[in-house]
Amino acid sequence: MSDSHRGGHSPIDALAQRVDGVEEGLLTCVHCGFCLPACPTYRELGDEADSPRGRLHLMRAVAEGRLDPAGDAFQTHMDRCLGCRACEPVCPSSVPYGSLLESARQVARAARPARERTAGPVIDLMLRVFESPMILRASLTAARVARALGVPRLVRRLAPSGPKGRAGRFAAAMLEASDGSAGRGTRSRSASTRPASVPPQPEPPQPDSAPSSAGSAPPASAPMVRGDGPAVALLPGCVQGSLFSRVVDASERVLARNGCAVVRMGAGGCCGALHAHAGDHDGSLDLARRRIAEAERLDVDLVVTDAAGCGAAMKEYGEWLADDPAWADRAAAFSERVRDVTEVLADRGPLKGGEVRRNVAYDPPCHLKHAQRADAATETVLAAIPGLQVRTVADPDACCGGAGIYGMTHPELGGAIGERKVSEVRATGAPCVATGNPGCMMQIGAGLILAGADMGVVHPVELLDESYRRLDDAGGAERGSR
Amino acid sequence: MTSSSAHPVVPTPTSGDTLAPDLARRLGDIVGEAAVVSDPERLLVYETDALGRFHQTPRAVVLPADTEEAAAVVRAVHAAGLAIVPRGAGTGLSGGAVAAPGSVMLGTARMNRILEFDPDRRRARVQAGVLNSQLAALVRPYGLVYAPDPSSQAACTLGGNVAENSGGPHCLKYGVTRRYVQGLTLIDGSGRRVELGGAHRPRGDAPDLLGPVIGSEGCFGLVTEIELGLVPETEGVRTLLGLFETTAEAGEAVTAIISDGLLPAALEIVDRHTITAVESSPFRAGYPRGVGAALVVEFDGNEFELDADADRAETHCLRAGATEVRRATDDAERLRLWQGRKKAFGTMGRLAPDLMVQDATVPRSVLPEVLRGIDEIAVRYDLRIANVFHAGDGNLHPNILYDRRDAEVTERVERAAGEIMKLCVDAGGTITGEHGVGMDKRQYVRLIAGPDERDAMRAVRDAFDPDLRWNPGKVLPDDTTADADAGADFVPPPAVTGIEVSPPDLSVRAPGSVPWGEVRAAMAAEGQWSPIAVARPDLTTDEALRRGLGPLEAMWGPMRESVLGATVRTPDGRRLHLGGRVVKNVAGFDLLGLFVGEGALGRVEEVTLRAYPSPEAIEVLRWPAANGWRALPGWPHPQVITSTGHAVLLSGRRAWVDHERRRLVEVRGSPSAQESGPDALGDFVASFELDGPDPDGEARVGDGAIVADVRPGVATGQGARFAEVVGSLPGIRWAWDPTLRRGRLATEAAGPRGGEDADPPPAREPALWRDLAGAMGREGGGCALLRGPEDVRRAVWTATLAADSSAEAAEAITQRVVAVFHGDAKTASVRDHEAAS
Repeated sequence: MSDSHRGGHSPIDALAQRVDGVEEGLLTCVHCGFCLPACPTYRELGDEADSPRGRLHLMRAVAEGRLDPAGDAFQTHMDRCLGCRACEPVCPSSVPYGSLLESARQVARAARPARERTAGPVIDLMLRVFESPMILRASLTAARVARALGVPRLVRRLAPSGPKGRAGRFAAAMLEASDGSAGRGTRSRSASTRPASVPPQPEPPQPDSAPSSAGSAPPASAPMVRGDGPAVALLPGCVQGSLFSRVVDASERVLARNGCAVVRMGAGGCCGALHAHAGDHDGSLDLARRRIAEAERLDVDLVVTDAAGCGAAMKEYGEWLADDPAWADRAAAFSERVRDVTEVLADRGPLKGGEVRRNVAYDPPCHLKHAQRADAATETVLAAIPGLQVRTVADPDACCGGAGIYGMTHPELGGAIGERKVSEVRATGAPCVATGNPGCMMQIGAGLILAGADMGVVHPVELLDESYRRLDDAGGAERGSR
Repeated sequence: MTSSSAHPVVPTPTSGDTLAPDLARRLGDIVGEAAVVSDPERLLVYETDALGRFHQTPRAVVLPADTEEAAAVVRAVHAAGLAIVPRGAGTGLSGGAVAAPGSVMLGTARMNRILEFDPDRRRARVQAGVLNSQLAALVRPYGLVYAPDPSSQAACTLGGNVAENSGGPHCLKYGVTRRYVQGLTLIDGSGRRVELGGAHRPRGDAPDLLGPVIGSEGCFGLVTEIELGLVPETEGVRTLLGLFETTAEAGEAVTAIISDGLLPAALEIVDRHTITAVESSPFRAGYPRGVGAALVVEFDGNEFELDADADRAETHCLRAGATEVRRATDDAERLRLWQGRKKAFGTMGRLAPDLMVQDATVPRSVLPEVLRGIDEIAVRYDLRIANVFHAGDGNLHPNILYDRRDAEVTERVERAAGEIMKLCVDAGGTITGEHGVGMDKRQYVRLIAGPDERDAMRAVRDAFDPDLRWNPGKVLPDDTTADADAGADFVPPPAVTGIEVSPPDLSVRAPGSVPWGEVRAAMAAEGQWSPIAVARPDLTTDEALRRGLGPLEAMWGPMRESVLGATVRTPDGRRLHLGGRVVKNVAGFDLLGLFVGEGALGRVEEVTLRAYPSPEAIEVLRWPAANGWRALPGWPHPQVITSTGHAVLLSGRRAWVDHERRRLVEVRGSPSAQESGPDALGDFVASFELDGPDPDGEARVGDGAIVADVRPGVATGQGARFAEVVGSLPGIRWAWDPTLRRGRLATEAAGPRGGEDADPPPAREPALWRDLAGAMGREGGGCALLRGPEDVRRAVWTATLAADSSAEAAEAITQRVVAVFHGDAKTASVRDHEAAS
């Protein structure tokens, strides 16, 4: 497999240029070490090579020809990084670690054939599956069916002990957790199969915010009635759109309620984040182009997602395609319009909802807090829910360990990192935890299930959605009693 | 700092430099395989520190999790004949954590637990890998502060702080790391565990080894655990920002502020280039551009005094030429000001690819002229110099910006750096105030230490590490080369003829033979004061320095913390110039602690003392406490209770925070007796010392008395319990310091004044002391004899050894150190340490 080159350079040259700070005046690491305490793998292992500073050192060594990118050292330590980017906010030189990591991963991927990389064939298969909306939808539907039939719980019980068994158990728990509950805990209200309803609007008629089914692709000429808010294209996303369809439904409803005209992008359309993180340069760019083209066909002001990982990736399309003359401007324009759903809601208010008397723990996803630096909006959104007691977990900067399939490729390390987060979550004493990314929801949820904890896992928009529903119900009850 | 395409090629390790399989197995057994790194490719990440000038991969890196593992690792490595290099977080700026070729690196990253925290007694015990900021964050909710706050505190380890004797912006008022280390666990060259300080001081008449270990840059052994003191948080804080056109003007403001008797918590200057770097980073602090220098002044203390202090400082800034003076109006603004200063070093990467980091310290009084000199050097060499520094201490960082790929510029930079160093030393300063010597400044050590001094440092180092395993190639220059003494660069300071008080430098120089009372009076005449003020005025200064400070140590640290430099005469007749004249000095190994305080090894011929602005008043309260001991409810520490039933409150919380300027003791409630003045305090300390001949010829503690320090362990560590144990001993008087958790015992003197019978009274029975020492030792404490007959000494020592095997290791080192200065063990004056490097 050959990867296309960035502007004609090999992946190593591209890496070398970026590390040396030549390209675009990017800054280089001054070796101060401020990133070490922020790094989850360093905190767990104490080894310099598993710190951002150490990984940058390895990248530089490869760029200078001192280190073989096919060797164990480079492969292992690049692989072990969670990509949480908690190191970026604390770096005094603003080293763009996230994008340097992606370049490094491209180099690592090109240097070794799949079968010699950790879970290489599995990952490659996943990446190909994620590129095809049809196959993806089919697989995730199968997963949903398995989930409904209780297969994950069975797998959990029957999986053998040992690392492979642990990986299997964890995978099963992740799938199980994706329905919003852990064990027999408090189920998220919005996990029900209630169809999306058009909310009553006192204002001029709001656009019809599309049915909840994730299966329909928007025709290019779908009529959209504009309200007083922005017209937004909502990316259902791959995993989010199928395993967490209820979250996307909730996003659609709350956006519409706050005056947005919402149109859904194609089901199964992947943003390419997974490919970028895995170092599949070609794959990530291909998907980026597709999403950009799709958004251009829709007449919208903003592109919105409720998955923090997707939002982070889409906001970086401008950088990804900077060297492609045909797409550079289009990608930059696209990225400018990307928002997390909480950002849009915070901008619009959001409207206050009905009372939800509940304690909820909140854990900001790394890709919202560190990568997008946009986690403040979530606070605003949750504040619009009267009666909600929000407890941010201790050490909110720390990653939950849910970096893609990290929990399966690095069961021990991912498990240790995840355990820390799970214990902080449980320490809040709340019956459920909210976080804005499907990967995190599955990671934390799986950890809770395996720990036997009785806690639900929700997305913040689900809480707002529930809050609006209660307001409607109360209004309906009032009307009914008169 | 950064690499370039011209990066020097690092040789691939040869088979001789790899880890032998059986040693690898042994190490894996001790710490677990995952904690041993021996793959040359993985070792690349350990090849340098934050300075980035020196690169060398170690043979292997081992990451133990605690003291036991670390000691076992050291023993294994020692048996294999290899050198060991300790490493904390690798944030050092002197190359100190860079491996020696073929060495095994011992990292403390996994020793990151806080072991004990006692908020009431304001102390914590931590493993060496705990981050500075971690400890600070832990204690803050309790209203406590860990004072030394280096700029790298977000990432640096406390073990590293101990190795470098780190400072930080707040060390002007609060002192450096050494003041706060109460004890530590050291793994010596052969892998033995040595406990120093704290409860462990086997012989009261032995020199203090804790002082020299702090700042020894990993050359004396590996520190694995540290006992640290904490200070109470102040009521309030005021932060000012003065804007100037030149750094020299800012320096004048600093001098004026200190000379006026103010003691801010911090005084920091950032120059034009630094401001540019910081303001264009995410850490912008709101510093205006186009300004030549910004001075941050911060006062902390009680609300009632802070505004007045801030106003006075503002006046001094304006008089020195400030174009504007701002005050932080809220916490957010204050933190933003500090954020910019603390991240300044990291943001300099924006200005140029490479940075020649410098760290010189000069007396504050010459700061303006030195700053002008540096400006002149910058112009002459056509270089940009970004200066960010702790103006209050005179600790400068004139960092030179350049691009290493340009060979011509690089050569100019190196010459300029050398000139700057000489300029600072010639002005009475030293070569490093906080970054340490490491590898980076070895060649400059000759500027501040002559051949005799370097020999003495080498010999003391050998006493800790006779097999020369720890961190070779660091700190001391190689004196084996032909031009070792060529140039004889060190110029001893001019001999002091009289008492020289220097208020802007907060220091005083005096001959050791002068009566202490004269020194104290000379200082008082200039509004200066030292905690040594409590010493008896008729003693010579040299004699006064050989005492302890008693309960005042809780506030000002032991005697060595009050001494900046001294010329000493060793028992074997050598004269050594130790330390310097500046308040921050980490150049070379610090031997001053061996020559002051109890157990001092030689005579002090001249001394430079640290001074503080005089307190406005000193009051000592005494009131009778029935039944010998009773905890005083509602009174904060520290207190001292004597067995004669007197309780003395040494300082309430309010007094602590303003003791430098207001009162030493706060008056609360209605005391039954009240005295004032330094003599009263001296009397009190003397009574606590239970020592010294009585002026009227009546010995309070006469010749032949037994005097001992007792540091109980956990079980007896409560004052009331201590009173029970000790109070039942016949014929013994005692005093107890709750903060230091230390008791001082003394028997009556032998002879006519003391005992009356022919039989020795029970208090003089060796068995009594043996049992006491044994009991204290078994619970983790100790008993240190300061004075007493030989049979009692032996009894105490035997009991101590039985209870704590590590005492033997400490004793061995002590004897070697003592021998260094008695000329018994002839140390080779030129040792081939550097063979490995």
